[in-house]
Amino acid sequence: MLQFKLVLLGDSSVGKSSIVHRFVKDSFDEFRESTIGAAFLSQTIKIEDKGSQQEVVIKFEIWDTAGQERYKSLAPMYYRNANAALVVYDVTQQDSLAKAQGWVNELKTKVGEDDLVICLVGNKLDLCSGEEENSSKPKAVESSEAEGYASEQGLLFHEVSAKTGEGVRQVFQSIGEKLYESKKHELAASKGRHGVGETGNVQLQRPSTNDATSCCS
Amino acid sequence: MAGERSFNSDGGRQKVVQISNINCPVCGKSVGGLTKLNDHLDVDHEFDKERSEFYKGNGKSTKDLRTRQIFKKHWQKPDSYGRALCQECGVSSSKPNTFINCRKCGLLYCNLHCKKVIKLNLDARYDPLHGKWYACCNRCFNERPGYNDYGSLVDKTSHFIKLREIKNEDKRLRSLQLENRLIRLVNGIATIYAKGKSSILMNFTIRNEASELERTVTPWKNDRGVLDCSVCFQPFGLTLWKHHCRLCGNIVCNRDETSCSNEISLQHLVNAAKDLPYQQNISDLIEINYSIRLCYKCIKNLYGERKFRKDTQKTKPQLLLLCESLGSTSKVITDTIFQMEKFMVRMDDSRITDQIPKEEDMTESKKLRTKLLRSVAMYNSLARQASKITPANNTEAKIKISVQVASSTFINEKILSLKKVPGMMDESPRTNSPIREPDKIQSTDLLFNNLTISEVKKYRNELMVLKEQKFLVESMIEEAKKLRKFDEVVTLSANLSELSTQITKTQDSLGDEGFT
Repeated sequence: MLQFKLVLLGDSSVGKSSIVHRFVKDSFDEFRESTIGAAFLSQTIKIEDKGSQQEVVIKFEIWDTAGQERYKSLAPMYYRNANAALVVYDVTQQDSLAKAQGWVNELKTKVGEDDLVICLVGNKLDLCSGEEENSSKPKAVESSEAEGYASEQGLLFHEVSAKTGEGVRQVFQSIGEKLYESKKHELAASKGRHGVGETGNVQLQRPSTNDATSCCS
Repeated sequence: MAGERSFNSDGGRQKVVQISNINCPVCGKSVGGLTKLNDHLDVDHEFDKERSEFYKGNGKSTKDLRTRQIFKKHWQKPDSYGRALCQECGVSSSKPNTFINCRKCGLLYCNLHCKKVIKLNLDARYDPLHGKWYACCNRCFNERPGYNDYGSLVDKTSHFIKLREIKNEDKRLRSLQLENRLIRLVNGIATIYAKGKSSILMNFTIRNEASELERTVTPWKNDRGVLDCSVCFQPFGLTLWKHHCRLCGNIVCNRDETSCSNEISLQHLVNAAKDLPYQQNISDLIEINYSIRLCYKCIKNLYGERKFRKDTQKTKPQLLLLCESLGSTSKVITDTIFQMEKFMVRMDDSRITDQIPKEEDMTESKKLRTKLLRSVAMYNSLARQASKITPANNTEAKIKISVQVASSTFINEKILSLKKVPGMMDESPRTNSPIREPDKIQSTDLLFNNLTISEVKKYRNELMVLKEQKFLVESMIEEAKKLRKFDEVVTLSANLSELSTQITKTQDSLGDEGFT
């Protein structure tokens, strides 16, 4: 199993925690309280190796940072040695995109590694899709604008809705695939060296305590 | 003697061989024969004091040991009239038999106060291993190293914690298991209900499937041979039926008066433990009309802690809030009074030596005084507020009375030291204060520790955030351990150590300007 460290960045109340909770727990809380510090969650996904047609399990260790200015000093600790960063903005708030661009710049300057996968994500799509004209809020950030910026900077780009769940899985799926592509060569090299490869791994994980079959209760 | 005897017995010759080069059991020195061993033991090791008197002249070593006496040169001598004064009770006497020198410190004591014994070597030093017992005074006895007033003390806390840890771990595992079972039961029942909605034989099939599910989730105990309820130990009979707890599988009764087991509706179960990860939405689960029988122990295990946590999150009644603020104010008052008193002592000293008190001291003491006055006023108003509250129940009435008593005793205790304060403060600053130099007033961009004020603020803020996060991660680790997610624990612990290093770094750069 491959493990990747993923960090969420973005302005406050753009829905970072909601995206993570949708991804990890597949739930949505209308009245989520703002995050304090940084929260930790983990989730595994399966992706398909395009060459060998095998399924690969990827585990994301997700650090969901607080967007409030007060906690800005914590962020470097979490994006340092991260494999992927999810920079989130709110599609109904123009200035949240500006903040997101600020985060992208900071990542590009402070994290020297080239293999950091950055994904720009526009959240709250549900607020402006649906009934085109009657929707309560207009879309402040056009997809083309953000997408143009993303391709210019070489970022992945997605628009999602944590409330409906639309597009959330795809974000992580695409990040996983990209990370796997970049790690594949290293993996292949190490496999060749050791000869045994993954078959040498022994699962030492404890079985779960869920015990319909155990002898004593 | 012993040698002769061995000749008479069978196989004596062999023993003779052994005996002729026997080793002393005490010092291991080889001794030629048993008689010589006897002598050796008696003389060198003083096994028999009276007998060894006879051997006085035999060897040099014996003579040496017997003649050397404990060091006496430091002994206090009676005065020229032959009188001695007991160092402890002060009784003086001139009779030589009524007083005695402490063998250790050498001071003179009356017979009564030199009754303790202590092990000393010949140089009159404390020697618990090789020394011999000598009379000593109470002081020497109490001051010897390794002695304390409470006897010997062994700290068993870590051992105790270890034992508790094991027990707690078991308990946590157990409740995790029960939680898992509950989740599986709820999930299963929800799916059965969802399926059963379309069926015509709905009620019948649902009951059947649900009871089957219950048995697969929890292995039921065999009820043959079980004679009494596992909670209240009442014997089962015609009127008292056996029931199985759906979570632990134990056999319990369902008496109302003991409530060893109860059928609890799904709605209540889910509502009381909303934090568990059910597959379905809680709002959907609540609509299901199904009850699960749980025993008293499982209810306590699953919901006891949850209820406690819920209760602690409730807003506290006003009286309690007042109590807490009273407590913190009283702490502030006590602290400030303590500091004030230190200042007053220092001021008095400086007055004696006719020095002008330092400027920093003056400003500091002024600050302390205003702080003290303000906190006392606050304490008063808080106490008054507390006495005005009408208690909602019996406990609150009790609390109110004790708050009143406690606050009045507190003020009474402190009133003396409070009265001293203002007078001292009034005269000293006016009469003694030196002319303030204007250039001493510091500009706002003053450097603390080579940092500007804004930088200090920034670092302090950072430090606060880091400490907060450290606390959060610590609790996350605890939680992950409870849920047996040990791979997460590894990641979190790495982050925790990173945080700690960052905290120390920030603290270092703040230096003295950190939080006190």
